[in-house]
Amino acid sequence: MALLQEWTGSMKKIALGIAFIFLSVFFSSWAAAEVDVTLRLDRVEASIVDTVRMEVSVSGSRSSDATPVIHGLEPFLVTKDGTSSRVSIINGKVNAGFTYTYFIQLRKTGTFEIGPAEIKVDGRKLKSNSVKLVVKESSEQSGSDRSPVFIEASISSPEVYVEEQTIYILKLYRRVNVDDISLRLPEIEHIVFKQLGQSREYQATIAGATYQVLEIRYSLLASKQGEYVISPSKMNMTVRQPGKQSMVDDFFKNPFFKNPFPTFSSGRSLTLATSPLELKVIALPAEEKPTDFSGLVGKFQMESRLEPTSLKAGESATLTVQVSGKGNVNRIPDIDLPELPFARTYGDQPVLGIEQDDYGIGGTKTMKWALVPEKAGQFEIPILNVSFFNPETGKYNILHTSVHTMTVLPGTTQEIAALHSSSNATAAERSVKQEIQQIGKDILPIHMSAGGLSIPYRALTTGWLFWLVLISPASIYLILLCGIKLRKRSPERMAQLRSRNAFKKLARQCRQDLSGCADIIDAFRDYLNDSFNLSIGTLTSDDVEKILHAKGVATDTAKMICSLIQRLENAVYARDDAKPADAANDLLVLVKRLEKEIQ
Amino acid sequence: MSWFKHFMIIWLFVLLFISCGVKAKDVKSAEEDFFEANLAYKKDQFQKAVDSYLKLIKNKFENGHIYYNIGNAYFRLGDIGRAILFYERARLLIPRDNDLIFNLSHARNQAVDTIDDINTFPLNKFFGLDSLNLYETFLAFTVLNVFFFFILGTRLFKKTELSYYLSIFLVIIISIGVCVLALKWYGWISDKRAVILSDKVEVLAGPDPKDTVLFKLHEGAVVHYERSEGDWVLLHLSKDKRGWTKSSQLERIVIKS
Repeated sequence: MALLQEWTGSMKKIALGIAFIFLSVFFSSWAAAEVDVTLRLDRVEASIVDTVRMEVSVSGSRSSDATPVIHGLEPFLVTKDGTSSRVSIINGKVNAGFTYTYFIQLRKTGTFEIGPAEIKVDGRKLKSNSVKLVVKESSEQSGSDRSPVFIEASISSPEVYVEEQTIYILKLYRRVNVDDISLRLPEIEHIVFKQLGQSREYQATIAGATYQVLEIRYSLLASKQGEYVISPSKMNMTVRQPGKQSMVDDFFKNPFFKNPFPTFSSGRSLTLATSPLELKVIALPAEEKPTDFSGLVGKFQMESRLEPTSLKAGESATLTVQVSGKGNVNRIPDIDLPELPFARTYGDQPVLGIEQDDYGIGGTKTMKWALVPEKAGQFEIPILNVSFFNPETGKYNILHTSVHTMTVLPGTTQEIAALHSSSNATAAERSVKQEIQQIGKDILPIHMSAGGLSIPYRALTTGWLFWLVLISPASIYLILLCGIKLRKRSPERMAQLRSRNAFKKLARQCRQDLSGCADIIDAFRDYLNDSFNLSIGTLTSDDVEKILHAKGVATDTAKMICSLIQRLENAVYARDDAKPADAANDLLVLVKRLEKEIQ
Repeated sequence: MSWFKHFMIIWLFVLLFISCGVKAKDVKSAEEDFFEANLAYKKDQFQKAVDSYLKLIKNKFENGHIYYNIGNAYFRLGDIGRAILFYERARLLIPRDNDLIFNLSHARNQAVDTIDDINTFPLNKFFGLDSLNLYETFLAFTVLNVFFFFILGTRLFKKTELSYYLSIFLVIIISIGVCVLALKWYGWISDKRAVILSDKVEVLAGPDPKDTVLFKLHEGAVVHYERSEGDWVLLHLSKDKRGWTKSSQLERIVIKS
């Protein structure tokens, strides 16, 4: 028991220690956090009927002394939505904050600057950033003739140059619940649609009615000049209609009761289409078109840097060129760095990063070269150019890199040697061994020999020959197997086997077991019985002669065997002097001869 | 053993009958046509060369080299779709030909759409079947089969330890051989690849010109043929890229006789 108390006490101490460490980390990091105020709008471009969501976020504090004062909201009707607070711990760093949310109902068109928001936190007055908001006229009809669900499409500019992007905005307004929304965009030759980010939802007030708006933006790019009609986009959806009220519902309408079960609603399929839009695509002007123009259309800028600008011979510097902007960024060309007389150059694979926002597609192409100077001195890096067409000005522009000067100090031989053995071995190897370059591309010549003008072995795999080739080895084997089996069971073969076994038996008896002449006669009788399938009880020389003659044995052999049997009979019955061993040997020789003659 | 001798003699007569029964062809005339076609190609008369090669194929003289040459002639005529079609046909017959591999790769690079090998089973690579044509695979199997039964046959007359272990080893090899041959055979009969021959093909949602255009293909693209309905065929590239197009705009690689 005492041990348990001691253990509980020590556990308490550990838990308190952990809590203390956690709290001290929590408060120390919180105390150290910087308070920051940010003002955000859910979009920076809206139509006069829309409602824009605005957030004022304070990070680094859990409360403010008063609600924020936001400048620039005078032309609008502002409704406060609520306040939310948050606390997060990332890598032991505590981040607390809170957010005020407002909805701005727009009343007039123009460009407005919203902000800064001023807020007092812990006695300190803090200011946020400002955001520009562009309010445009509502695109089409406005009035009371609106249905509860409708869609609108608009383009940011009805007249564009070839490959200049314009924004196609699709809005679904709804006052009733809809689901299963699917969209079919128009398909027009030479025009490509590309969605810009995710769809967004917000509220708009039209003729006093509040609509929930679903907005989807597309970047639209025409690759050929002409006057196009953008056919209607079609949106399919299921409109949910509230079910009929029952008596039970009426009963529950009494504020005393509240129906805990939602009323079931029925769905109705609905297809909406936008109005067709016209788009005029103008060709890029032929005048003043740069010779190296790659078809880049938009607004672009170019940056370049050389790092380091001062180095020793054999060391490596990096030249970075970045072309960035908005437009058809995939047309940004891969710039060729001309050969430098003072340095070896190794180009990296260009990297294109594509970004999207409400105003279209943009991006940055980064090109890098490693420059390894081979001699000391001061050298200028050649200026690199990229041309593009600016649709805003309607003119071609040429971007240039800055003038970069490289100061190269004399390097030691060891340093250059070290360079060769460094991790950049591939580049060094390339300087020694020249890479084989592909100059042209073409197919190899025809084959002059067609090798018999037929497909080798094809005949084997067609028709009955296929089955013959496939099955014949197995069938030959089976025929052989059956033949051998049958042969083993034929009467001749059986007689042969019998005869062979009888001879073996006789030979064994003659060599081992025989002690007298009577035994030899018996053994020979057994041989005849076994070999010729007989059942002789007592064997005489006359019987032997008759049997042998019947079986086709030569007369000489038969007579010799008979005389031997007679000799043995005399030895048995007349007590003649005869040696059994010699007689057995003679018998064996004669039986061998007999066997041959029978076969 | 006389019965065995008789059996073998009869068997030889059967084989002789088979070899004599194979229809004799006018090989000499075909060789002259082939030479003429090659000459036309050399003189840059590519259409004439194509016609001559196709005539040979029509007369049942065909092999991978003729298909390869037709592919070359079509390439020179600027018909990338047909060039790829005939290179693919040649690849079924002479898969290890380096000239063919080079030219097919070059023709694919000229095509607008990305073309991948879409008929390769994972097991084909494992067994190296992509480098053997169907007939070579069958020949290899036949040799193995004959050898196996020969070893079994010798064991009927004389059983040795060596033939015992050899027959066990061959049983394993034959089992693998059966699988490989079946795999190759299945690959051949289920090869439903087709090559797009028209410059630009619109793949529609249904067999009707009014149907929605799902995607577009260009000549030389290799697709999977699924089925046909009238003048229309259903094709697919992947699970999410399938649709209908006119049957005249593509041709299957494997010609089913």
